[in-house]
Amino acid sequence: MTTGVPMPGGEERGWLVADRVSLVYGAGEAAITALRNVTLKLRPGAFVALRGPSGSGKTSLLHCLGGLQAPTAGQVRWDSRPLRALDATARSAERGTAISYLFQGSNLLETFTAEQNLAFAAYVAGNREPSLEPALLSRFGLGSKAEAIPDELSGGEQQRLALARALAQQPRVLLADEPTAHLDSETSAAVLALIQQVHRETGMTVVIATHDARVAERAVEVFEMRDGVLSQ
Amino acid sequence: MPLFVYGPRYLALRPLRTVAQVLAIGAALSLLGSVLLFVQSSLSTMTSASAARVTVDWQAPVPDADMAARLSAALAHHRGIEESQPAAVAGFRGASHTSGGTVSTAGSGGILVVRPDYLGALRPFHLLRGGLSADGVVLSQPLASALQARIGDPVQVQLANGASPPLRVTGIVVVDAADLLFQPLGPAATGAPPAPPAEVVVVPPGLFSTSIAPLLGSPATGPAGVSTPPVQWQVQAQVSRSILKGDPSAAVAELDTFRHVIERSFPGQLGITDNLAAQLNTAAEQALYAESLFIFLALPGVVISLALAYYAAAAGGEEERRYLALLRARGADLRDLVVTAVTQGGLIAVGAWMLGIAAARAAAPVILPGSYQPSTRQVEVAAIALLLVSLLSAIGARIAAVTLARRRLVAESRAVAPRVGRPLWQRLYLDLLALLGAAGVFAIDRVTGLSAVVTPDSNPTVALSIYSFLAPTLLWLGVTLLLVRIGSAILRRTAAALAGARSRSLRRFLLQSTSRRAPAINRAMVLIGLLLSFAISLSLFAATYQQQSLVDAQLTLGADVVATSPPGSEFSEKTLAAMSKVPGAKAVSALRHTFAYVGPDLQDMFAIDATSIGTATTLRDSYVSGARFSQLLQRLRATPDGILVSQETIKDYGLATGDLLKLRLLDEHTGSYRVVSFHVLGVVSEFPAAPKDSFLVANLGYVSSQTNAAGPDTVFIASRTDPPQTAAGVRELIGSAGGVVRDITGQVALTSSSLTAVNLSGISRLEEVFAVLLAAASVILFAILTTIERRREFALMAAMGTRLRVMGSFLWTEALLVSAASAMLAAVLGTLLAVMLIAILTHVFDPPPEFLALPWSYLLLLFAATAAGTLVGGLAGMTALYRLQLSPVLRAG
Repeated sequence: MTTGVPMPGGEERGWLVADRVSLVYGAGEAAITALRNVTLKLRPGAFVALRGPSGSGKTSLLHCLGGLQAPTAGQVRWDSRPLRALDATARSAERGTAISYLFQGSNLLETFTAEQNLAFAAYVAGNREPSLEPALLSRFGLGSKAEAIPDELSGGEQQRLALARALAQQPRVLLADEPTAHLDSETSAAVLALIQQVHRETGMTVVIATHDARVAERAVEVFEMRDGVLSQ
Repeated sequence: MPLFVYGPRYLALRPLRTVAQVLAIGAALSLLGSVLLFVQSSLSTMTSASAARVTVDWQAPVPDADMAARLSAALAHHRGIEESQPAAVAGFRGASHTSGGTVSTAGSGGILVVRPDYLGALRPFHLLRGGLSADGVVLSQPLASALQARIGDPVQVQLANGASPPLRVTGIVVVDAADLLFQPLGPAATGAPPAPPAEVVVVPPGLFSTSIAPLLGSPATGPAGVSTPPVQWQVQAQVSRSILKGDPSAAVAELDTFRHVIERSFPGQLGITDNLAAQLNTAAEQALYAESLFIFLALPGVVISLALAYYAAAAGGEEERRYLALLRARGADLRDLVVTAVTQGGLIAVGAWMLGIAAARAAAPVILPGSYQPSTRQVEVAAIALLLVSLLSAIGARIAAVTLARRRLVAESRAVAPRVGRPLWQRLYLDLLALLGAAGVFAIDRVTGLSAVVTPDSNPTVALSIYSFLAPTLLWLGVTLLLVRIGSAILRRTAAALAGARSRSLRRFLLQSTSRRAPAINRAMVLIGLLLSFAISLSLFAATYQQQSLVDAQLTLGADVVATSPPGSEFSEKTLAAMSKVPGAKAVSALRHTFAYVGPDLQDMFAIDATSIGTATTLRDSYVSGARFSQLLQRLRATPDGILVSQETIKDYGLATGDLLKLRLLDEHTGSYRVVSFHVLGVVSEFPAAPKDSFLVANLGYVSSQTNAAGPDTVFIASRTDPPQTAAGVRELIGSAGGVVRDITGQVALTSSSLTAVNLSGISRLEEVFAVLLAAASVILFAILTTIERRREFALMAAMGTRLRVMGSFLWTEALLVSAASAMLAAVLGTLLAVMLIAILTHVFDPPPEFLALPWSYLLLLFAATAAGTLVGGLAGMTALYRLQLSPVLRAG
């Protein structure tokens, strides 16, 4: 599957590509195939939803795209370079500066306050922009929660903070895994609106994995996943 | 799958944590088992050491010599009696000896009637020169000195009716147990016993009946109307030590039963005075104290090990919570959860028990004396006790872990987190109360001297209050609780304050993380700090205990090695020079041990070489008053007729420094006493080889010149190697000339009191090794458990692109902080506990320790082990981080 048009010369600068990726957990009779020969080419600025039921392989595909999980077969390329070819340090650097995650449920650093979560993300990404933390907190309606630790925030606040933290790294790709899974519909809508707004403002590539059709509707392109197979 | 299978399965799937729990509880059990065995063997040692000091076990008064002979013969054949002899005691008014026209006299004393073959199992006196004979008498050393009598000389003993039969001297003895030999027996034994005589004449029965008994006069009537015969015949017996088994109390019970059997066998004939039972009863009182001491020394190690087991069980609460959620999803109720926890705990307990038993068995040869074999029943009781402890601790730890996880699960399902109040002990301020109690008990202890009572005759029997141990126990408890209460808050605030204003430096993130994780870090810090403080206090105590045992022995013996010339002879300059060249001899100093009359009192005098004595033995400043010992030696060197006098003599004779003191000393040339003038230079309360009460120290050159003595009769030798080896060299050197060579190693066992007779080195070494291993293991455990606890957090960091080095910084910071803070806490608390313990036990040591012995090599080893544990734990954590599978961990959240 390709989203958008390849760049001149066939180069994939800024593209995130899953090229015939397969992923198998376990071995022998207990082996579970999570992804089957999945190809997905994400151009810069794409807004894609991966829709499918639980266990269909959405999270596995996101993890492969972000380099958290090495595929059993095929390859994932970022900026034309296979992720597998990168050493651990380079992979970390890419995750710190290019690809950010928004996980389902809590994905904040529990030992840090809201402000420190953002500061740490900026530190990891080498982001030297001054006043980043207060600006992001204010923008996401968390100005009064700067000193709160994650456990003291509501589910919606936690997800907004997680989104803010992802942005603090100024990524080029945002991979969001069921970002509204534990939220009520009103809060979900608010979080999705924020994601859309960020996408519009920054032009970053956004991939949302969801089982919820209403969430998927927010994306420009929607791909279906079922039993590890991707279809549009 | 049935629910009960989940318990073992959970353990199998988490091998690291399971092994950690088994090891921690196993270590605690091995220590506990070793301590149980050690206490048993120590108490048996107390029994045998106490019994060994009794030289006359039983005395039974009988009417006459025939009865004494008949009953002792019958008793000797009784099973359990090692030896039985007839004996008698009587008194004399005075004694005299004429030599070369000079008459020497002595005051009143006692007559001891024994057979020439008396000395065997019964040993209330020992021979210095000559021997017991059927046709002569043996004099005690003070009497021989007073009479200037030598072997072969005729002496006269004045009896009650004024008669003075002539008797020939066949030997000189030292009477070690005059108090037992001359104690009133039977109906006469009322009120306080009279002072035992120093002047004793030992007479064979034949000579006694022909030459003395007819002249003794008629029986006297005492104040209670009891008729006291002029001679008290008695049967003396020594009980076989094989019937004394176990601790002193058990031995007393056995002995009482045995004595009753004997008394029933000789109805109305033997009313036994049981000196052995009296000694064992004293030991039994001390046994309780010794047990408390051992338990006090060992218990912290056991408690900390169990706490580590709990720590290992309770760590990784997140994983536990998920496991519990899984069980509940499969329909488990509270009862099922408890059953699962009990199954898991039971499996861990059995594994730990087997490990503990095996380790205790392996350690037994190291800590127990070679001769001690625990009985089957003792082993069974210990094994059952260990199994119970193992089950209780393992199941308790599992139930606590499950309960904690269940609370988290319940809390998660609620909209509002339940309010967690302060625990009861915090609300009651038990920590502060414990510290106040510790200070109070210690202060009372110091002020009232509650800690120890040394008997007035300076017998090393010590009565100690068990309550003295309350002070260090409460200190330990108070500090622990106080640290739990405030340690976390202090760490949280300090780290937060150091983190400072908003910035994006790694230092700030590390400090913020430390601040947030203060409770977990504080828990580990308290646990490891207590473990290290236990090791430090134990090692300081053990080293000081060992040091004082040697000081005690050296004070009694004189030096590392002491050579004494044969009676009537001296060491030549040539021999002294050769002694200084014996392999292992570091320094040599010659002296002469003689006697001098201060007024009517005969006192020991040590004529020393003030130049060399300080190099050949230890002269502590605590031995003297008003000056340093080196200053007094300097004064002695500068004043040939100078003399150091004991406090008692100073007081009795109203002396002061600078006073002229005239003494009567034996002139070796003329054999008569002559007056020699000295000038008092100072007061000395202790001196190597000197008795405790009264003695004198003067210059060897001056004393020799004034008494025409040929030279020194004693040599103190400081050994640079193993004292027995040096002693063997000296023995070889003087072998042909005769003389006695003793060394400090052999002396240690002889001089110790029944409490200090217990050799703590085995159990101390075991606990020290245990503490070193546990210190390293606990830091490793902490680092690994931190990695497990923060696994999801680290996975999130990694997903954010955090480099391994940065993630590792969080791990290293905590590990280093815990190690450093624990070491500091341990240094302070360990030293404090050791100081307190030694202060409480001050009077057990003779002389009291002047300073703590610092076992530097062990302390370095302990801190090196902690540092190595930190390094290994940090590297293990880093390896785990490097291998961290991000996807599964992040999915599990």
